[in-house]
Amino acid sequence: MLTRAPIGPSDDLDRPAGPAALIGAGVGVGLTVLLADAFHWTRYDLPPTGTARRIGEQVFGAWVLPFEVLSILLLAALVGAIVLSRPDLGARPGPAAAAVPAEPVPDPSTESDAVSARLERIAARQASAQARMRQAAAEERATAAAAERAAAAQPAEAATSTITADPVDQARKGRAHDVIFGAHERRARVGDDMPDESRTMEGTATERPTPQRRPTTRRPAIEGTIEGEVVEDRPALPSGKNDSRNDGEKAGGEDA
Amino acid sequence: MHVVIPYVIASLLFALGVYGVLRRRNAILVLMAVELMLNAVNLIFVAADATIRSTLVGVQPEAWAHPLPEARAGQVFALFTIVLAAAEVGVGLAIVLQYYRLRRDIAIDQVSLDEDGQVTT
Repeated sequence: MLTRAPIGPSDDLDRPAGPAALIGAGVGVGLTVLLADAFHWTRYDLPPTGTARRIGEQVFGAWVLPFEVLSILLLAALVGAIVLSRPDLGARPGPAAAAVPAEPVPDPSTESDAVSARLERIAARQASAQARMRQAAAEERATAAAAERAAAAQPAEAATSTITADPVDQARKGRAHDVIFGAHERRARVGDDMPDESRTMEGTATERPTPQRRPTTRRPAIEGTIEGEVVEDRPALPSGKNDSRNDGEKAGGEDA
Repeated sequence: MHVVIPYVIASLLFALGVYGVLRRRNAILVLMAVELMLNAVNLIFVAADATIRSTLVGVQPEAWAHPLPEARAGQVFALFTIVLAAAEVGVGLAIVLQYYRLRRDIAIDQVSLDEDGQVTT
């Protein structure tokens, strides 16, 4: 209402300036002449500066009854403003207001170039996020299949690994563990020492700053290798997610 | 200092307020112009308090009031006027808001008091 009002003269906000200026100038000149004629060029010395003590004594002394009446008036104005402005208490839009068309729905085709470019960027980012999720799911499935095949082909090699239990089960547990505790364990900590040695923290630490190297180490695991790589792959999975997200964002930026 | 200076300033403020009320169509800007006129009246109150000698010196005060320590009460009047302006602008803005909800418009020369809400003139 007010914030979109243009500053300065405008046809749809102002009425014609002629009569208003005439009446305003008439009032101004009339009052000025009247008061100047009343006082002429009388000089006077300024009274001593008023203090809050004097005001307070007057308000709570001689003018205490108008003060109280004003407080009641303020209360009435407050209640009236609340009743008028609350939509569930005051007047409701009648049938005349129903005929008033609602706010027009913004059409995307009429937006400016900057807004449309931003909308396209957002759409591309969402599409890349969906593709990223789909790829992550496919990789997970491929990893599980490779682990099953490796376990079926060479069950004896599972004993040589650092994890002695069933590799498929361990890999699944490890993935779940990474999903749950990955962010907690990958946080920066003072004196970086890991009590669990099966978790190769340096692998993630070296892989995270260099996301370009990651697909070359990742793809053999997808195409099916022995399960030792699966065990190696397990701590790198959350960082792999991070890297894939960064790659996805880069890809989204390229798409946009 | 000349006595006439604050009065002339106040009369010019009042004329500016009259001009704004007559010129603007936006109801909020009209309310602002009314506030300008109220400020001119406040300035008149304070200036008269400082410059005009009171003639109420010998008046006996009412029973409910304390005796006036001095007859100058223009500042208290200005204070009361400020309170009245606050109440007025609160109710006025509420009315403007409600009217905007009803008609989606706050141009005050489109306001009609008819039942159907159509402008007849």
